[in-house]
Amino acid sequence: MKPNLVRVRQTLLGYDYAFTAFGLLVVLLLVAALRGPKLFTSEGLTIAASVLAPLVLAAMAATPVAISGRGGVDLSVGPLMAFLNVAIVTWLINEGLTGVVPVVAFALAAGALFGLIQGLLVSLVRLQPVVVTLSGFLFLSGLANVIHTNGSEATFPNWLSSLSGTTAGIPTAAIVVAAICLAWVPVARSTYYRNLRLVGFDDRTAYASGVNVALIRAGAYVLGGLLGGVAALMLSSLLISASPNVGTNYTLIALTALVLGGTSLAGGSGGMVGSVLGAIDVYLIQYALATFQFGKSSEFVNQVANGGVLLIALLLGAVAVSLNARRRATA
Amino acid sequence: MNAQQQADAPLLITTRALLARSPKLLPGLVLLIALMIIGAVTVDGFTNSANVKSMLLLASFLGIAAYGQTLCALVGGIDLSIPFLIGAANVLLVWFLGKGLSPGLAIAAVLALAALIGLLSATISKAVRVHSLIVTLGVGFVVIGVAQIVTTAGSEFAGNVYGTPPAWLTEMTSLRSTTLGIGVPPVVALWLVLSIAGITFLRMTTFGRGIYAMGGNPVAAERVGVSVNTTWLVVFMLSAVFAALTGVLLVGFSGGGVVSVGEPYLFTTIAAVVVGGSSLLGGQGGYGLTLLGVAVLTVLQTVLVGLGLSPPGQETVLGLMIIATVALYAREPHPRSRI
Repeated sequence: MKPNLVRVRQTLLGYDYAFTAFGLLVVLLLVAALRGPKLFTSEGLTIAASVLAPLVLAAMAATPVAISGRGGVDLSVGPLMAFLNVAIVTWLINEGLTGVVPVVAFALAAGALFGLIQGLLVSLVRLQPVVVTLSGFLFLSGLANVIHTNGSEATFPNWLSSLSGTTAGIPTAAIVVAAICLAWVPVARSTYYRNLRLVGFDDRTAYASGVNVALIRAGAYVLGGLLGGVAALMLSSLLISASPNVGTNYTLIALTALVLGGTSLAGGSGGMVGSVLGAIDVYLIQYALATFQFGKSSEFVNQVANGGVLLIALLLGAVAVSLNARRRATA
Repeated sequence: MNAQQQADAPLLITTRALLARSPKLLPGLVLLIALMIIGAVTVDGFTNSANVKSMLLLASFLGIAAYGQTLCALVGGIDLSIPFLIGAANVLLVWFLGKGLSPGLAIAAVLALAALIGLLSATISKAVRVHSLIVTLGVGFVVIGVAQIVTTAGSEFAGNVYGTPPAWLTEMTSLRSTTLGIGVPPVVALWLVLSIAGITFLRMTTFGRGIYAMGGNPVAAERVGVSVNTTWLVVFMLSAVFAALTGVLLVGFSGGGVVSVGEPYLFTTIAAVVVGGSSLLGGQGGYGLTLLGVAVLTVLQTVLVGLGLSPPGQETVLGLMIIATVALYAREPHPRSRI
């Protein structure tokens, strides 16, 4: 084989965890093209991108936490988005602070701070990640409702609502997500990220080889919090109002997308590419189902489909792993 | 020693003996007593028999659902399908009754279906070696979706099934009922019986000890003759059955089928296990601790309601309290001590 072909092959094999999600994406795009070609008009793509952006970012936010290991399941990602959404509306926009700088700075700083607190509870206080993010879930979904005032809301600033529009014919939400993905590339290539995967895979080995396990693991939660902050901005742009109760749904979808994307909750394996593809898959399933007329049952059909696809993806993933293992054993 | 102290003495001795055997009960017990004192002082009518009765009633639903979660935690799993099974069992029972099935048969059918679903979750998570949390989440989605499609397809009431539960079921969960002359609803007595049976099952039977052995170290458990696979399957079947039983009992409480009736139980069963002091990683804890957790959560809720906190406010406090209690007594060892 030519050297560059070998390189392409090796690069692709680095992403083998995401093959299931990618295969599903191809199938779903075909189904969508047959059932609802409106998706591929410029209007359809703009709507899709603005609905997808918070989904993709939520799945991305849950990824570093899952990679950091010890059963890191970021249950709190949805409520974090819902809380920041309400906080942005009640504390900033309603008070006249509508500029780009204060709103973005607040979302990122608050997201990172919450991630840092969760990270320290996991790595320094050494509580089980599930317990920490479960408490975070309860705390934030409660708090979002507590600070939510049912009064009149000030008008949303143009820049925020226009994130769901288009820039030079391209959906702005897609540009934001693409920018975040690009920003992730140097992180994924850093020594930090390599250490994070080692810590997630086996923290005893990492500790024995001199890695600062606590610091590395806490960092994963800060990264998750930052991404959650961006997700909250895109959520606000989509909803154009304060909605304290959307959190649970985003948590469930983010975890479905994460697992569809091949990231293991055992830690140390998987990555962002899978989560992004997984989130797009989840959206396309709902889109394809919406083209059928299920009437009042449509919400239930969606639930069945989400759950069913998650289970099928798990089974396919397991088959792929065992085939790989067999191939390696015979080679 | 005056008369009052003498009367207290046996209780004190029993408590001391219990704590000597299970020292993990102490933090939860202290928390519970503290909350009760706060409740008695700050909330009007906290010690009324009516209030105690309603707390017991609410606790019994959570307590029965949390038994399954305790078993799952003991083998190192988490069952997220509990709220979905509660909701599905709730609407299915009313739907079966509407189809003319006798109550006994309908309940048996619902519980049997639940056992099958638990078996399915356990089989998948075993086969693909994925954390049970994700598998049960997927199964839960499918179950609640299918239950709603089956029960409300073609009707205009999305997710709700209207019907009349049998009188005895309503009676069982009514605050006005009594059990054998004692002024608590029969569901509380049922919870008590199930608790005693459940704790005995875990402590006295070979199978129950096998659950602990497997949670502590599956490889070692297998070597000493515990069938790890069977244990895993049975645990998730039991968890599903207890969730469905809660859903059945809630039909009597709410008087109809509402699919969202399980929603408050999404994380509260896990919270009860954790606040009680059992580990979610397996092998450590027990249903006695979960009972304490259920009591703490129920009393806390009543106190917070009494103090005028809205449900979201209660949720916020609950989140903080879980962190605080777990930080006190469920910390994990440092990597250096695990090498």
